[in-house]
Amino acid sequence: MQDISAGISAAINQDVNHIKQFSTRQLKALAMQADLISAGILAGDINEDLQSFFLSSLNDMVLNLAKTLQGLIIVSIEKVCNIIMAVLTSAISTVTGINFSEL
Amino acid sequence: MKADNFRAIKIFTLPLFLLMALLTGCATQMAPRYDEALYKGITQSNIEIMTLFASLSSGTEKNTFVTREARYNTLIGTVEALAIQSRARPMPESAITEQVNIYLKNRNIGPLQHNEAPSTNALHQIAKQLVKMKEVDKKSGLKAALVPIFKNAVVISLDQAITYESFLNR
Repeated sequence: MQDISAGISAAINQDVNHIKQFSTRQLKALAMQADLISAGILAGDINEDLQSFFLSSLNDMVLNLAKTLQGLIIVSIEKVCNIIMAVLTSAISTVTGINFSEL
Repeated sequence: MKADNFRAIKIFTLPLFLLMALLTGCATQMAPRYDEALYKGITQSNIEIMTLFASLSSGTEKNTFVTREARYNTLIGTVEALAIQSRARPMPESAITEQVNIYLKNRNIGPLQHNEAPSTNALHQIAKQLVKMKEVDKKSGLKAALVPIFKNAVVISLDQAITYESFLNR
């Protein structure tokens, strides 16, 4: 049980840190993009066609940020499942003497 | 007698389940496999695209577009090819993901996994920005103020693609 907890904590702490840093970077960059588009519209550098393109792109980028975060979380869940299975496999192997990697 | 049977079932169910899980494959795969060539391709494109942006930082004139056209085409082609490479990987179906999705559906929340890796969408988005940039450059030249907007859009999508692909290296 302690092995499982220790393994999960190590994997999760590192992943949570990465995900946190990634989302902070993305939110800053998306806010900057909104500022750049606003400034461009006000200065007359962005015509109607470009305005529509940039706003639609911004929307797509936000949606894909959500999908990316979801994807990262799935990878973390997978790691946790595999840590639990590895510890259990090793415990059963020790007790039964069966080497599962050879099956 | 019935209580004894029930207790026996309870005692043997977990080990049986674990044994079956072990015999049917210990490692669960819920996300696509890591593709080193794809990851390297994206990071290499990152360098080339940022070099292009550095050369355009003060804007462009449409009469010099021909000198940049081939570079745009190469980058757009490379990024589109990487998107195809990303999409071509099979998305694993996992019993655990299925269970999580049933749980989410019962609570009116969308499913966890889609048919495509998020890096595929991100790469398409990068290509879309480069195509539009090329179109504007060809038509009227790029105003200096437009370059950081295209650049930041590409940076956002590149970050999504690189972060996701590097995360798959588990």
